[in-house]
Amino acid sequence: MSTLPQETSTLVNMAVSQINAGIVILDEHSNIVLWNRFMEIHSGIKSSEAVGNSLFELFPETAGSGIEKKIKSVFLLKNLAFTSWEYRPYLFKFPNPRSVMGGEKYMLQDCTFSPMTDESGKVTHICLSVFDATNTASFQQKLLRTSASLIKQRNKLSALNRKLEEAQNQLLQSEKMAAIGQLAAGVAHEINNPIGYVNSNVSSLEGYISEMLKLLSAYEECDSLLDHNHELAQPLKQAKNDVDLEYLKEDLTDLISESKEGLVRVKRIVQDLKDFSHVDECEWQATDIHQGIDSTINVVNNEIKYKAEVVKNYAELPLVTCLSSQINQVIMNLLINAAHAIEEHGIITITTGTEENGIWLEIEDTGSGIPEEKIGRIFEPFFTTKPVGSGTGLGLSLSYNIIQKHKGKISVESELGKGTKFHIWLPIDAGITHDLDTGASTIQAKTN
Amino acid sequence: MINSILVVDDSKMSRKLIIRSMPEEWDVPIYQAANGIEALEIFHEKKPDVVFLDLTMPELDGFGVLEALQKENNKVPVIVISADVQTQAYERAITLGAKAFIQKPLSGDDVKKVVQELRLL
Amino acid sequence: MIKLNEKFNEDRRDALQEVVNIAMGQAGDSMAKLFDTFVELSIPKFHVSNIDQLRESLAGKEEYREKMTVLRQPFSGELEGEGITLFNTSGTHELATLMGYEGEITLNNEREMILDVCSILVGACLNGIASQLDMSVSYTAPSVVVANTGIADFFTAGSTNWSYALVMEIRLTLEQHSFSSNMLLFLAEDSFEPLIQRLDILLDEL
Repeated sequence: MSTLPQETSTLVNMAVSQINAGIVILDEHSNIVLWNRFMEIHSGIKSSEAVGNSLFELFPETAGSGIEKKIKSVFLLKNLAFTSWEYRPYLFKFPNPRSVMGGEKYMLQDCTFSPMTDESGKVTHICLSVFDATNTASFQQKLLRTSASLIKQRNKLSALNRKLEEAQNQLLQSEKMAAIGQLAAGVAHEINNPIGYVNSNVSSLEGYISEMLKLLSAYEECDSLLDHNHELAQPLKQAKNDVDLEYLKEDLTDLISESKEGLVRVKRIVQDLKDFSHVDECEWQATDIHQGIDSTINVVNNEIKYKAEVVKNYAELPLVTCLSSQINQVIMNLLINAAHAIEEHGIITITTGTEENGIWLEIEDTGSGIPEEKIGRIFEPFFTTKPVGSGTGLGLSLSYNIIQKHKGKISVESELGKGTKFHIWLPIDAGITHDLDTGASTIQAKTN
Repeated sequence: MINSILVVDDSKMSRKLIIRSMPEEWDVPIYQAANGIEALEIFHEKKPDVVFLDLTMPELDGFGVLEALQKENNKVPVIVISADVQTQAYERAITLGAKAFIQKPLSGDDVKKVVQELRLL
Repeated sequence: MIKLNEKFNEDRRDALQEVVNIAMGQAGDSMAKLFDTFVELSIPKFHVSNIDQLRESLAGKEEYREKMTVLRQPFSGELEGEGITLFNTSGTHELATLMGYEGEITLNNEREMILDVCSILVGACLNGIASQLDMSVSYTAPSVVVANTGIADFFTAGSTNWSYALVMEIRLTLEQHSFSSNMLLFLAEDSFEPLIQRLDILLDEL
């Protein structure tokens, strides 16, 4: 350090005194060596009262809050130490001089502890500078508040957007389902007519054939009476052998009964299609959930039967007021997903039960499971784990919305390599208040 | 009587600095090694009468060299010159048989003073 | 890059490494006295790197994959650049005692504390380098850049205004305390020339 000419030195002293910031010089025992005018004015403590006293005795609230270490680090490491109003609003509790206009009660401060070294480079003193940050701070806080409210608004908007998107997807999907339903109903109706007369014809046919066979037996009983040397006897025998009459009689009966069985199945599928689409009953009504599950299994049986065995553990369930076609749709989605998750062959277990004024059903597969990072998103629209083109990514989102509409809950548990379990809970009487379409439902997802 | 010297440090600059700060009286061969393994090889081949040893080095560090020499019951004076100046490092080096510990950066007559104290001239 | 590797030739690299090692030794010693515990500072390896190389190298390291609080402290003068300090905040409660905080630790206390450690770490390491090379350096207050993010996300193109920097990675561990922190010291391209000049002075003195 070089000594300054007398005049400069006076100017420096004046600057230290007049500068619009607090300047405090501390020795190695944290005793105050210099206390400038800014400090005098804001603390109300005169320089003559401050100098010679320990900082921590004069301002006990600064002790035990990391300041000692800051000072020690400056002495040891010759580095700078700081306090910022953001994390420590003030080091010295000075009243805010702007309190006339309101705002902060105390002056917010940014402080810097700088090392002062002697010629050998050893730190002998610390220069503590205190800057009034109240203005900057209040601007910043205003800014923070504004940006927080902007973020809140943005989040609100994006939530709204998401809802809109969901609604649109649902609309799209329900349009599609309605179209499929109508188609199914149309097809069912068209099939019903021919099946009706085929059915009645087959019944008549069955009667006629049985009569004919009776007659034939009667004729056969007369066979012994025939003259075997008669010129017509030989062609008759030949004809009997050619048609293999014994087989024919047996097979005729089988054909008829198989045809009847086939007809019963066709009728049941037609009925299931009608049940499933429910074009005729799009209303809230008391529904047997098991019947819904069964008819849905029949409709999607083609997708499932080569992949999995379906095991049913049905409990006794009360009738549930719901939009049965929509609940069937949910069940169908879950069944198809379960089948797709199974790579070779597995088991799909359907379990039902009652709980808290409601019923629950679980569809569990022994498939590949859902990775942890994806499980939180499976109810999002357009989110799919299936290969491109195999899934729309709408099935589960739609299912979620349907369950939400029923004021129910849908949750999923999954373990990679073990399988996935969907759990649905439905209130028995959601339909009573179904027009208040605000019921909150919850998504829960977890992996094991 | 000093007939040869071994300087071990992974930094070429540091080796040069150590060599430059040795007493002028030592007009003897000086061998250099850049890690502990090299150091032990040269040590066994050349049998130097004093070793200047850095602590933090790749392959085998200075503590490893000290341990090896201690196992062989070798009493060659080892002077550690290290940037790791925490008490733990100093105590460990002395326990492992180092005769002196000089802190980096080397200044002035650090090396000469220690050499005199250890009566190696 | 070829030019830069020429600039930082073997002798200069060797000299810089030694200067840095000595600085770390001194920093470790001072910090041990400050915290009254054994302090381990890893010996930094430095490399000249551009932003893509840096991000790639950071993303490849296990310790940078955790979520961390990132602090920065700019420094200027003949040595110019920034110290980026990374904290895994789970260890900061123990730090409170070491840093002389009494009573309950609020989030603000915790922030100030890690800012202090950042400032101590950057200051201790740089002061050691600067004083050996007789270069001046001054510091700006450190600040929290991001809380709880992966470091690789932090270094994205356009987020910094340097094309090349001399990067040093230093790891600080406090013995008997679960606290550790990583620091990346960046020397800006503008510091390369003065740094090389000072290294040459050191080398010429040999």
